[in-house]
Amino acid sequence: MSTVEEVVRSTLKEVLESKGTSGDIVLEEESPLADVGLDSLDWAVVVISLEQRLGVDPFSQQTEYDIPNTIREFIYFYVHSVTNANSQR
Amino acid sequence: MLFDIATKHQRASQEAECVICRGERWSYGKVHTWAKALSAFLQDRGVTRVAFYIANSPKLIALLLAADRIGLEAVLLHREFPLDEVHRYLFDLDIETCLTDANVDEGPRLVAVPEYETLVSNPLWPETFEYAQSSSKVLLLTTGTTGRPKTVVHSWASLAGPIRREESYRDSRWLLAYDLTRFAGIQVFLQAFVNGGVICIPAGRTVGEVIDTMLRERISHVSATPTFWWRLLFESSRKLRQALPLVQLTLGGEAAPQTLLDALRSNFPQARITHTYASTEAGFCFASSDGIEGYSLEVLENNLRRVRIRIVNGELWISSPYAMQGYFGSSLHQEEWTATGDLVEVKKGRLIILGRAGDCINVGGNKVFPTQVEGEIRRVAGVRDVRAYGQRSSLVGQVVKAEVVPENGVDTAKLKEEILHYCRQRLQPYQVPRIIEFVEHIPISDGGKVVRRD
Repeated sequence: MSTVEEVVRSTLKEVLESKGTSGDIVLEEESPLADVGLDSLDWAVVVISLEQRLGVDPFSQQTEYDIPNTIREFIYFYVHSVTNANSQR
Repeated sequence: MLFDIATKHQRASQEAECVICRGERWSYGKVHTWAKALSAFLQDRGVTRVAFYIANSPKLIALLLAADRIGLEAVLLHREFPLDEVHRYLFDLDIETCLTDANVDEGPRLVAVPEYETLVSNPLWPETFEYAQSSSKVLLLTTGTTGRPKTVVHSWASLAGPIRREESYRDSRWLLAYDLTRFAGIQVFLQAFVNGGVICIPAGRTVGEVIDTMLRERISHVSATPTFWWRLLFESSRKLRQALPLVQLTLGGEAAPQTLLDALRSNFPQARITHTYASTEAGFCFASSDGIEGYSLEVLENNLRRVRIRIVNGELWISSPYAMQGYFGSSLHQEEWTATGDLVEVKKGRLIILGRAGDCINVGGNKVFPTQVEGEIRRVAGVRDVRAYGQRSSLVGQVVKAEVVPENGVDTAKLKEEILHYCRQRLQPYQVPRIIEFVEHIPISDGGKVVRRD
């Protein structure tokens, strides 16, 4: 089973590829989300795909974590959300 | 009034064909006789409101005539409603008698329709029985693709008011592609019936079965939804289409896009092609036969049918003498103006129907009309059918999602790229479908329209 991090990364890669950007793009941990090359609608698609794959949408619920600004924060945003969801089951 | 029309036609000719259903031919004389017998049967039940839960058939037509003759309110329930929903309507609308052709246990409310032979050979009332002056009404359910349908009260006069009466229509042979329990089905029925034409009920719902009926019965007039016409074009061969002796094609129930009007024109060059605007509540409103999307404002302003329009915040409002009397349960005082729920714009002197307000997709505050997105996607080779709707998004409200039925054997990965490429050239970024899924079929409501909901 793939980890949350892998799922987030591959989803980002897919959406980038669908825009014609090279899939080999390196998603640096510290890259600001603003520099990844996705517009707000692309991010919306990323979030929808991740909800389908991980069963959570951390943007739709209150969270103690700040809204992410970098790739690393984005990944951990999902990791926390999945962990929370699992602990509540 | 409906019964009187039948009386007139059967006097002119007993044998003239009225309804054709699965090879059975019913003349105006026979339908009239059955309606007389049924009106006595209904009178015997002693009710003022009656429901019909019956599939398209001569039976249903005879019952409509019968109910009209004795001034009943006839409630039309779509035969595909599940039984518990039927019971809910019977309860909500306070109906004691519901005639049905469904194979269910008869009860105090559900009653089987007596067959022609049984009833006519053993009449309940003498021929000369005096019936009350007709105050008959028709209660129709709206075909909205969302929410619970509303019950709309019409009179036969308001329904038949805008029907074109022409001598040449006497020879018209109409395909009943809609359900008779729906406003559109009633319109087609009246268009044929008022003029003494023939109503043909297709043997089934597949394109193959419908075309079979059209060829066998030499159908000259067809009125159907754009969804139906797309299916007909996609699922039949050009050779077969050329064999259809069509004189008149009518599109209604949904906005008719230019791409479809063009495709029909090139496939049926000899036919008159008309797109109409109507709703269950507002009644028949207007029609255009110039092959151009939308409706010329100039023509609308000189409308002989006295239908007036007004645009309020982008929504079309209608004032029409053919509108409903009101919703069931509310006061039947007729409002002058009816909101249609359709969003419109005026472009180059024409009124363009953009789509249902409820179908409109809100992408980060931008309005997107599914029909526009679908229209572009349809132009891509390899696309057989499509629907677009809003996929909920926590970030931007909604994003446009498209479901596409590909042609057989098409490489879907490549098709997806082509659709995106084409849409990016033709549409604003927020209109481009961000999610594309390939599916086997597109869901259609029982009113024959595309369901644009998740």
